[in-house]
Amino acid sequence: MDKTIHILMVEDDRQIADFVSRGLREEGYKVDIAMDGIEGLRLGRKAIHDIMILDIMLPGMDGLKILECLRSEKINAPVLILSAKRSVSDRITGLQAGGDDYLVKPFAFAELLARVKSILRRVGGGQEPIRLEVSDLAIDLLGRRASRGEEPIDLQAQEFRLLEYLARNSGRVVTRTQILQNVWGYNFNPATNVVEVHICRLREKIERPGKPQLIRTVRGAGYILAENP
Amino acid sequence: MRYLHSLAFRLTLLYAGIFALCFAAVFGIFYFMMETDLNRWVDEELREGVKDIRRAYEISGIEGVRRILDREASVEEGRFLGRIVDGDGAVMYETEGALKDIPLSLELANAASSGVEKNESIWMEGDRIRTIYTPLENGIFVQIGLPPSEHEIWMQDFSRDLLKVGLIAVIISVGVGVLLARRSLLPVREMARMSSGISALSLGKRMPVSGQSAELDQLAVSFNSMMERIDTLVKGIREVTENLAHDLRTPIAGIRGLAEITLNGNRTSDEYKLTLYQIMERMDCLLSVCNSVLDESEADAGALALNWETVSITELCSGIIQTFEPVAADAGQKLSSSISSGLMIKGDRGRLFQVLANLVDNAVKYTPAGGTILLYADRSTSGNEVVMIVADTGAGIPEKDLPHIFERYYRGEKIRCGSGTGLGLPLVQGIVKAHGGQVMVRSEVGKGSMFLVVVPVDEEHVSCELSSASQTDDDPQTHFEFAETHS
Repeated sequence: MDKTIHILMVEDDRQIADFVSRGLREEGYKVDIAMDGIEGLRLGRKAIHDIMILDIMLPGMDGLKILECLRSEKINAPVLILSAKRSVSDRITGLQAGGDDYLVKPFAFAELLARVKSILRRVGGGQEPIRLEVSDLAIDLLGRRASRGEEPIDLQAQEFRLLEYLARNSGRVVTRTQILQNVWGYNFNPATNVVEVHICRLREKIERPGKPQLIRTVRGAGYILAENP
Repeated sequence: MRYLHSLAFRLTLLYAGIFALCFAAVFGIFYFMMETDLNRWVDEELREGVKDIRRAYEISGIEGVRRILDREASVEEGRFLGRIVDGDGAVMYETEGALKDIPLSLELANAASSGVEKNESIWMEGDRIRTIYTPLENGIFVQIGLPPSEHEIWMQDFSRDLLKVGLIAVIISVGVGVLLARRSLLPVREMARMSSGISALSLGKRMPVSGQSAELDQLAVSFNSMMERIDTLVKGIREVTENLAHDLRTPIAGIRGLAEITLNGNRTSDEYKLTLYQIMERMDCLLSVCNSVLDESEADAGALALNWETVSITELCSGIIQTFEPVAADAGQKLSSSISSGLMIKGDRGRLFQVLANLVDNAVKYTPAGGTILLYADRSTSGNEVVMIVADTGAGIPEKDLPHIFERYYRGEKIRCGSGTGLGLPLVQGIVKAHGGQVMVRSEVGKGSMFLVVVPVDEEHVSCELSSASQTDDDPQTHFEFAETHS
């Protein structure tokens, strides 16, 4: 990163603002926080931010209004909208108002970080990675193929999605619930051990005897795909 | 002025008003008819007099007329008017008596001078005097007048009495109106009093159905059934809230305990990390439970927002098979499928996945090792719907539970991550209904259960022929599939 990315976060919930800004700073970003709409608009008008994270429900002025004002003043920094509203029409309203992405509260920090990175890549002209690598495991995102060393791995669509999700978050523990939501979509809270069984299958396909184990179980929490134990 | 808006007051007013109006009309008609009759009688009498006068005039001129008038006046003891008027309107002669004060009508006098006979009624001291103007010759005319006859006096007294009686009757009718209105509105007031006494604490109260008034009984019955529904809803809300709070306590206490134990004693940083990961997973799960509750509540209110698109049910089903085939295999079950190709509908892909995933997930959970689970999808016979069936050879659902399985939290299961939340089936039903479809279930204890989901191909076909796919036992398709499941 040649230049520190500067983020403006407009969020009136102190807890959320705290954990997000802490997380973003730890990732190396510079973060300004506004706790209400008017302050948010004032900071946004400085036009010094590379990306803005806007809550919709704010005291003083709502997020969509701020977005409207900034866009009319030709401040075109990308915007990630945060909202407690879950409905499809709210998402559409947010995106139509000029938001670049929409994230529903409550969210996992990893999710927010991924969205921020993705938006920055998009506006920076950068490309989504087409290849993920963890140790000698290679995942070709375009060809939807995976291989370990020279050996191709035959994966079903769902197994590939599971592996992709783990690889995108490599080095980080992902919880069982996160896996369910991101790989199987929607809010699916199964009574059966869907995740365990699929991880088990995936392990059978990608782990090789004598080679370091890539997928490790974090007892009572989730899984991690990582090179080093 | 509050009483102006009272129904009882207005009813009374209306009642008395209508009564008075009717009485006035009857009295008016009666009076008019009576007056006409009386005039006719008096006029006949007057005409007799006129004949005598004419005859006397022919025989002995004005003098003869005067004699006739005098004779009549003496016969009637002064209660007679005889007046001879010349062409200029000057009185030539008039009889003595009480009726002398009767004025001469100029209009009638003119008419009589020009030879036209005229009649008139005049009110004098409460009596009605009937007079006639009859022409003689050269503009001379005779006016004779008769006081009311005995009949007429009696009739006038009678109508005066009738008017008095009528007034009294109107006053009585106001009183009766007040009584009637109060009496008929008494149960309404009673209802109002009772219903205002109903609060959240006394939702069990009901209106008495007296059996005396069909309309009010109907009101009471519909009020009671409304109370019944409110009662059920409030109880349901209370129960759900209590269950939720109660069920959330356990996992939250668990999380707290986990943190507490980790903090007890010195741990390595990896141990702290593990605890934090575990807390994260449990929190994620609680969040997803909250989302389920919200989803289910939206679906229950019919407010579930769907992301409409064209969905391939064939692909959706193969995704379900991919997801659950290993799970079923792990549990020692067989997951077989029969899915027609090219099944396309309009709907929300994610939500429909949720429907099938929930049903298959349940089937896997409740089917013992060695059992079979079948996923079937095809067009309905009419082609307007897609029929999806999830059948298992599991434990089955007891008959008494069957009507309730789509109710919220019916199973009374604790909210625990990884074992379903008791929210699955109501949400399934909510999603299917939002698609304009229907979920049906058939189950036999010890043999298995079958869930049938019928969803219209697109919105145009919503509610079309849904009954054709209802749970009649003679539906050959479902019957066949059900039988096959157990073979």
